Amino acid sequence: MRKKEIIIEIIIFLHVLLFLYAAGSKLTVYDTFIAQMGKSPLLTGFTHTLAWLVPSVEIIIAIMLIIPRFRLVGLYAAFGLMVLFTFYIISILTISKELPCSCGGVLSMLGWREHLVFNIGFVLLGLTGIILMHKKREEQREFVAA
Amino acid sequence: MPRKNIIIIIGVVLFCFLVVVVLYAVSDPPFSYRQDFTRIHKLDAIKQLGALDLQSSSYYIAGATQNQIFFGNEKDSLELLVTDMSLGRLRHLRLSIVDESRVSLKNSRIEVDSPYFYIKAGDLPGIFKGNLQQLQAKRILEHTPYFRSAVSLSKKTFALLAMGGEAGSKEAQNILTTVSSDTLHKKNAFIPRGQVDSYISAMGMLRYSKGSSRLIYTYFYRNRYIVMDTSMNLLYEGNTLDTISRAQIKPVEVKKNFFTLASTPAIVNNNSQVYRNRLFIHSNLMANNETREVFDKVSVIDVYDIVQDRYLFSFYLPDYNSTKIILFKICGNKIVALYDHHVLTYALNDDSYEKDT
Repeated sequence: MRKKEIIIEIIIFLHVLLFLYAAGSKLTVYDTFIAQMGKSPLLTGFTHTLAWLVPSVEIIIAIMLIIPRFRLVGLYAAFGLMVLFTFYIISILTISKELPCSCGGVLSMLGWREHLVFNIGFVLLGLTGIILMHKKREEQREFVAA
Repeated sequence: MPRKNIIIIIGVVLFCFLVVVVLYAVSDPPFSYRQDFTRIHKLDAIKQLGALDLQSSSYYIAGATQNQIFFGNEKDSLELLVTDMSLGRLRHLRLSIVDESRVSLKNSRIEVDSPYFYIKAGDLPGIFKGNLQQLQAKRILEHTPYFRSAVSLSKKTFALLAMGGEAGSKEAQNILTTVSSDTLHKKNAFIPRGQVDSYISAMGMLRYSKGSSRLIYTYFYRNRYIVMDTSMNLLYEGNTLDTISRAQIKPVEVKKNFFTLASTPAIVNNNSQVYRNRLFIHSNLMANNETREVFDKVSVIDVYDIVQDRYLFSFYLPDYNSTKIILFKICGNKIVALYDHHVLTYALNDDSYEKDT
């Protein structure tokens, strides 16, 4: 039980770290962030909305992960967000090959692939956290029922 | 884990997938490399002659004659590299400016028109001229405006590509003009028309063909080029093969009267070079009779006749060490191509050269 708790804590900690860092770095270079998103062929028309929406969601999820009551929901949300980002990167990589502009963004092809690996890593991490939290709850229920 | 939660997880994944699909459907359909036009491929057009490693990626082609190739260095404005056409006898020459030792030559370009060379410093602004024996340049053309690029038309006349209006403003324009030491007050000017906006969509490259006395301005972002005489009179506007007639640009207003681009424009023409009555364009677009597998490993050059106004043929310059060509120059039946820090020479087999003069 102890081991599970430690792993869950680490996973939550990593997620909070990632999301606060991501939100912070986007908000501190707001204009650059908008310009970078403007280069994306998929986000046309949404750049101004996403500029505040994405960091806000990241911060909200980070807060949820910190408050024990909302941890599990927060993990689901974090998992969902990472899956969304991962699908987005995959689509960009797929259609970028077809475009004669450098619409893939500032990152080179190599940068995108590393980004993808990193994202998939966090998706799996989040999934692990969800599974472990459920197992912990089952154990707690058994403990109480016994 | 309870089945209910597994279903929730799968549901989340499907939802995210759906979001991305909707984004794709709702966004401006990005057009692809492949356009609906056909190329005539001349398969025996080139033969590689030699290769040389220049050791640095900061070189550009400053000029070529039948016997020699000259390179300038973006990082060292007064360095001139010379080799034979066979890429042997590599020499580093040092140029100097007479009477103006402290002038800043940042962003300047050297143009070699044997036996003369010119140092074109658009940011100063100033144009300096010297000969290849003494390597000392003196300022010519006292009253040049600021310019982005320049080509020599004769010993005393230059054609310039300048920018009018403030960068990023709605009034910004490309201005083509000639400057001559004889006529300080008379200026011929030609302003390429914008589409969408007045400046970026009209950006292009200015080239001069001595052999046919024609000035050519090739647009970057649309399928056209302008052919003029040395007084900037419009002879005709030509179409390149491909079908992008409108620059794909999305300007976004940042502050009053100023804008930036929401996305990078699609490059139609990467580079263009002229020789006698030929226009060579390194195109960025794929024809409908080409395949991705081949296209990704070559640079395609489309050849046009700028006297008869027609497309002749296309040929491929294969990638070298997985890099595409950055710059190239045509001289006679030779092609000098710069790939990152390698320079390659090719023989160009253009039999139609013989038939017309």
